[in-house]
Amino acid sequence: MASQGLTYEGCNFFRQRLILATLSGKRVKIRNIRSRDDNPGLRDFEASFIRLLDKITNGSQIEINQTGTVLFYQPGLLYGGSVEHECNTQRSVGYYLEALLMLAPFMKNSLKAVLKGVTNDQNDPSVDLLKATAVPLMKKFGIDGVGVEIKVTKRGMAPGGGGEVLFTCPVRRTIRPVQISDPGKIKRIRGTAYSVRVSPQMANRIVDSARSILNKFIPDIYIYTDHMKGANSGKSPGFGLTLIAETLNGTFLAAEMVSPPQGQTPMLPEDLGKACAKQLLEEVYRGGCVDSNNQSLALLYMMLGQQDVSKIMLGPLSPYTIEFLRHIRDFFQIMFKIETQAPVEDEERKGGEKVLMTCVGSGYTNISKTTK
Amino acid sequence: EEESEDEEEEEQVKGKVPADSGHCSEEEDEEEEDDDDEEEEEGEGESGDEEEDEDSEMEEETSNAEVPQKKAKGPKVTTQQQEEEEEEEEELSYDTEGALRWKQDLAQKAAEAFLRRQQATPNLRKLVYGIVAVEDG
Repeated sequence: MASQGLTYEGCNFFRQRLILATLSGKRVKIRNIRSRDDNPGLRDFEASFIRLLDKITNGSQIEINQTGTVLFYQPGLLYGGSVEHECNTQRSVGYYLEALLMLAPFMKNSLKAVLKGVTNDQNDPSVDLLKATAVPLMKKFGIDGVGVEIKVTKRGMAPGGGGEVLFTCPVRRTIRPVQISDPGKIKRIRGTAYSVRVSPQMANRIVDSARSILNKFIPDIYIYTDHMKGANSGKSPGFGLTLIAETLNGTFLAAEMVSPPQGQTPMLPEDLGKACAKQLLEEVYRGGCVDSNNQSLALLYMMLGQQDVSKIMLGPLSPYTIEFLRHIRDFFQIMFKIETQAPVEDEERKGGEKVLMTCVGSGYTNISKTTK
Repeated sequence: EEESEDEEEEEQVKGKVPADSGHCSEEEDEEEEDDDDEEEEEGEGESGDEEEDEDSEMEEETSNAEVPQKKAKGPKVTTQQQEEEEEEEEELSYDTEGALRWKQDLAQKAAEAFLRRQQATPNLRKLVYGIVAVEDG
């Protein structure tokens, strides 16, 4: 029986493997998870991720050996519904939310998830970033309406956490194929500077420094300040900035920076604002029709679309995306056509190399969705 | 080639020429001749050949210096030196010709450059999926 499933080794790309296994219905076995480490086996955040998967599916079978170095996962049906999950504070809520974004449209019932934990940390894309980039992206694939929402009800910084995020998503029977090949020019820049358990002035200082760089390029900039206090401010102090560049064709490119967690070398809000603004410029240089954080999400939706050609222009592929492409081939036997497009030198539109990704959707239909 | 060298060595022994000096000069003769052939075919790397020639001349001088000490200046050696000088003159003419020969096979050179460039651009599909993708096209 084990021969039917896929076998992997090591702890890398753990989420990808479990997500694709769930969508394809294939069982997966992961061996040698940190088997040579001083602290072998699955980490707490990975265990927490498995528990979340267990909550949103029905009939999943998960076996982990004594040391946690071997995991066997037989996926069940994606059930959805109301879920509340206490996310481990080693990783931010974004780690879990990214997975939910990939799975949510293919569930039996529309998902309403409350995720508690760290909303912003330095490793994972923050909830604010996903809210600003992933939601518009999903709309392009036909996952839209009032049902799609990511809301930060409480903000919790690393390491203490204490934040809370509400995520709702409707279900779809099929995903619409897309052809997006022109990102267009940058129309406006928006952003959110947030601060919790520090002086509210911090957010203003971030805004000023970020504007000092971005004002040279475009006049239409507005950066909101978001200061949460009291019960909504989580357990740890911190501040950060998320910047979003919107293009004429509705592409959202984002960059973010978060202050180091308490105890590490502190960072001036001015430095943070400038660094974040430069990161946004880098992201704009990389360009493409999808933010580099959401490349794999877009590719997944393309691949699971109706049996029609989908095309999308991306910036340089991230290492995570490259591995995701390989896993898609393993689980769904779908290979993308990858064409490099030299940057257009005329009309001042320069930038990094672009990649045109083309694929024919697998014609995946959500059979668990109830027809009304 | 080794066999031919061996034969020559034997000849030298028969002609009572000391093995050292005679062998040395003869080897260089061969090399120079080879170079000439290559030049005729390719018409490239003139500067390199010139350097080699200089080296060989230097060595000839040393070999000439050695010869009288050993009192064995066979007639064969002198003829070889004359030949060498003639060859050098010919080489000079080759050099000047080669400088103008960049126009030859321009189409072929362009084709090679094109292929080289195409191979240099990374095939992303191959990088991502490995060898399998190439077979699929």
